[in-house]
Amino acid sequence: MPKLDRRRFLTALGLGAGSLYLPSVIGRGSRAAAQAAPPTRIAFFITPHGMVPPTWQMRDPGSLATDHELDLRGLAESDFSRTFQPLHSLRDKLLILDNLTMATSIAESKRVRNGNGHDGNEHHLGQAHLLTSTWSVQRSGSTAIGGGRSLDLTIGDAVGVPGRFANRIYGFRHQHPYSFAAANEPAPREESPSAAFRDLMGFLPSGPSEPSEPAPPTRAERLRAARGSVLDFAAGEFERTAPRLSREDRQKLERHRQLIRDLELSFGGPGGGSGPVGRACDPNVTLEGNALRQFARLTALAFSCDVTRVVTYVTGHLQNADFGAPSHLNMHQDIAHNSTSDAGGYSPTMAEHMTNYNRAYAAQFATFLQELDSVPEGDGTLLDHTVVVWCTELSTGTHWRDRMPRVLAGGAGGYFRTGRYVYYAPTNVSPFSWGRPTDVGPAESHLHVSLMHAMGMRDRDSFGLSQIEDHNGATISLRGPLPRLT
Amino acid sequence: MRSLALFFFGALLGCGGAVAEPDGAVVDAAPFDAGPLVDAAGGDAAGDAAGDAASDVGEACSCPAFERCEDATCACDDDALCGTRGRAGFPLVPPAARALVADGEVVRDEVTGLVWQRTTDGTPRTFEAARAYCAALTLGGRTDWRLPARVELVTILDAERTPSLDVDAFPAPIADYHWTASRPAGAPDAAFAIYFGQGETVVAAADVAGAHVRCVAGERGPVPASRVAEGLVHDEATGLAWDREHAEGLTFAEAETRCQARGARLPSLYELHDLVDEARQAPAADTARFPDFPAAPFWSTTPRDFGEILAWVVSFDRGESALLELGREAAVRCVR
Repeated sequence: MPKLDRRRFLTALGLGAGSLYLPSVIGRGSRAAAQAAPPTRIAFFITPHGMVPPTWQMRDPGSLATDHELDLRGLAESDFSRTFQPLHSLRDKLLILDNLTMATSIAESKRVRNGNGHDGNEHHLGQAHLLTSTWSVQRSGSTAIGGGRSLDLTIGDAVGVPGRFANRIYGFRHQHPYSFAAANEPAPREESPSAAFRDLMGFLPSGPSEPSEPAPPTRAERLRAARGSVLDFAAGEFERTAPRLSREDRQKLERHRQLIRDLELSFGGPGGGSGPVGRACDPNVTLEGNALRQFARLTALAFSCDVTRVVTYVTGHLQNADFGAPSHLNMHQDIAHNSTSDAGGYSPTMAEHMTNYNRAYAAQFATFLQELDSVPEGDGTLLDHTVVVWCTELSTGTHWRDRMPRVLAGGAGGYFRTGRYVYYAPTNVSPFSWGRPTDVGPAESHLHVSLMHAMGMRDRDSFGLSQIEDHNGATISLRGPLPRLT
Repeated sequence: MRSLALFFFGALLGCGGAVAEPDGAVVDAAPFDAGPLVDAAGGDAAGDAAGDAASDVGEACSCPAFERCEDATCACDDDALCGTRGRAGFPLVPPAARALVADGEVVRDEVTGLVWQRTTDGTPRTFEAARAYCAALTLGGRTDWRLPARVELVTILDAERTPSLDVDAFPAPIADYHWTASRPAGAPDAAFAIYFGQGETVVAAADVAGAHVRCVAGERGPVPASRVAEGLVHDEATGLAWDREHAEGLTFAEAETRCQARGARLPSLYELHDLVDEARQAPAADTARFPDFPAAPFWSTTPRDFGEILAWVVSFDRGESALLELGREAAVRCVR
């Protein structure tokens, strides 16, 4: 942690300025974006394991043999599935998808089981396929890992603004990575919120030598310096140092915050800014709370300031106490592996623990969404111009990869029709008969195409593998978007 | 409760009678359980282990592995625990140095002398059902099958790959959790299991049919003495000499540097597992041999490639293992 002294404090205030740097792109971006409609953004919110179907699926009167949907907007909280109840307040902005299949991953299981010496661990295959939808790299003597550029990076390539970040990956490690620059090349992930903030805002801390006592700055210098300090000080230094500031220094800090507001006005032009991004881009982030909340705020900051349009957040692992399970139970072996009725050690108690585990993640997802939804933008909120995809590497704790739980939140600028629970009838024969029903729902690859379309990539009709074989050797096409989303 | 069979076995072996080294170093001929065991209520009675170890010197005997010496005979406090805890009585070599020889329905380990069930039946069981399954097993002309102790099952673990064992010796393995016979202190309803889908050792609920079974046969043999001298614990069974001192709060690179500076090296995951004492918790280690042992993760040199290179650590809170990023901090105990 940087040492707080007068010189550093003054530097942070923008009065010493020499050591501070803000990429000019921030200011340009804010001004440019202020002239246009809000851009569309996408975030992936990834939790480990899977869920318990009877407790995440809505009490749905429709037949499992036919397509149907529910209007979420009219449902009381008690009518929501137990897993998703923490999301009830956001139901107008949700699109819950039931009966997608991670078809490429299942297809690889067939290949692996026919071969020798391959990694067939369904967790590993799920992690490899979740955002790539292509054959993994089977590393001899090691494990399977993502076999192509992942969806988040691919979208970032298409929608990234020159000079800004194409995408950001935040959070923690489950087992293998989900995001890949190329086959067997994991993309960098940032675990530290403060480092992520510095990374976003271009803050460069003071070097080994402290700056000298500054001369009184000119107004031009103050503004120039303050533009740099706006984004580093307000969020980084303030959060760390405010509790230790003297009264005098606090007053200086407040003056600095006023300067920030002045600058925001200047970015947006007379009258407080003519565009929505200029108003929404508030660099006064306080990095308080747990890592999830911090990363949610950083995502809101990055999106609202248009520093990036693609964020992937990998959640941290839960402790048993976080979801009310006894400490002596092993989350993976005891709970997850015995949480569906087809498991050898199934018990309702384990299913209940697994439900509570996912309820805890639903609460985290709600927090993430609420941070985005709290930022006004245009005629709605930041969430309205974003699509946040909650996904898991498996369908259940017992390694199903059909009936995948998928929740989309936010409408991607009106692209998706939200407030609905959409069930897809089985349309395919599974690529592999592995103890699950062979009649399965549409491949998740189609959802990937839909997400690319939502982000403006309308010329794409597939992502990853474009076709696979079903259990009977017939072709399953993975081309085209998922129907009934728009 | 004493095991009559073990009593006779111990009597046949006789009391080895550990002796004091000329330089005054303690010779500890007893395995981990020579120290005070956790009582039935799960309390940790390891606090006076150092003093007890000293008192054991004159009456220690050469017991079958995992048993303790009491009144010059081998015994255990609980039949359910006999033979399931403690150090290995054999070298703990890395996967590349193993000598697993398939022989029909069994696999013979020419390093440890253990014989393994070659293929498993794919049925997850509770802990007790797993023990019963092995006890009833007739395979390869043998009937002395049993559930392996934790340190025994570790000898077929290959934590760098998935499935996490030798797929030539053990074809079409179930890459999932497998029970060990070892039960942790303070958790009477739990047992250690090893996940052959990745490599970690965990403590799991014994009454859940959540793990598979691979039975083992063969004598455990006596645990040779370990000798403390010049700041090292010399373990005759494994041939390792461990630093009695440890350091905490080091990254992997710092840990490696520390060991190199001491003319030693980081232990492998398999070697580090041998320091776990299931009869104790927080730390799950023998504090008579290793004073001030923290209940913390310790670095091993065994890697895991998850796209980024990680290293296995063993946590001496309960003796479980996990993967840790190399830039994080853990404790280190060097070995020679």
